[in-house]
Amino acid sequence: MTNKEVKFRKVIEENEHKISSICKYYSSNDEGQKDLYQEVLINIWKSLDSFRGDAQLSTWIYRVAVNTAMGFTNKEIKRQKIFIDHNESILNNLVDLEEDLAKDKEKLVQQLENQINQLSVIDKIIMTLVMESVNHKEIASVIGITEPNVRVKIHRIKNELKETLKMSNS
Amino acid sequence: MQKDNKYQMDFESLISEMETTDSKYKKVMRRFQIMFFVFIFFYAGVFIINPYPELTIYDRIAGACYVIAFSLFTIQFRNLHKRLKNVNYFDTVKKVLQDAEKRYRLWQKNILLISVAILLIDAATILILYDRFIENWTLWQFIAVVQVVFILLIGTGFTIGYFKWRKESRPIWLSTKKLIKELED
Repeated sequence: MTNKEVKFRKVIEENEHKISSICKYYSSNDEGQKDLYQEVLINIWKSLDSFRGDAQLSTWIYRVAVNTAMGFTNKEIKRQKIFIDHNESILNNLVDLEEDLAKDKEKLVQQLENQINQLSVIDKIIMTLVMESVNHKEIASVIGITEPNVRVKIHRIKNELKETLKMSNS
Repeated sequence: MQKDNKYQMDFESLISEMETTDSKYKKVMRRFQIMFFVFIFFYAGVFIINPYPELTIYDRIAGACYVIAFSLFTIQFRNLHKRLKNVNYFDTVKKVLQDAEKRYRLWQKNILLISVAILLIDAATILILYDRFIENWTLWQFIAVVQVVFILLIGTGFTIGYFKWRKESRPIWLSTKKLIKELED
């Protein structure tokens, strides 16, 4: 096994969960997620030599995954639709589940999905990373903007989500 | 703005579209690089090295101008090919977009060097044709005719290039600009 193969295996083993989590947001079915996952692996393999270590490995993995998802040509992903898991910890990263908003979880997920899918592409990318509990510093490194800018954007998006949910529930 | 939006592509397909277009341009740049590289030797052989006694000093100077112009074109296409070969689609989203915005602009920095090469070809053409046509025209008439033909040819080339840019590159350029603005807001 060559050095590159060893490095690749190690990178994938350590970041498998991160890659598959990101893929889940960009496809609702297993087949689409697998296709995107394969595409991300191919891109990691192709660009592994160009990884100079100027960012954390995990940040670089997120960049490859997000940029691959943005350009992925699968029909479903071409519409850039985001799919949200029913997992509570993920939902908690978006809204406060303690509040009345959480009465009907199924409806909440549906509403959040609708709202997030109306966001701009950049905001969608940011929100997928927020749902993955990626910290602001790392999101800033993935996108290439400053940490305060990330904070402002997240704050604005969350407020908008909250307001819209309130309005539709009232 | 409405008019601009009409030409923008869906953001969703931006990166894949960019990769396809970059790959296509990379091949074109390589072909042009090879073509101009061959021209250097051909023109050097015909106008500079060629011992044919009827070749005047003007012809040899013109040959040198052609060789320099084609060398500049070769360097330009080599640089453009290298630039496309080294595109990193997995940098930060902002960097990927900023690099693409520069790559897909109509007016590039290399326009100056290309203009020098075009002027050299213009000068070389005047020098080569001068002896052959000067008997029927005055010097200024001759220069004016050559310039009109040359400008028409360059103008046609530019117009074709502009419409090609408008069709293939402008939608990518507009989309990247819009995304960069969105990132900075």
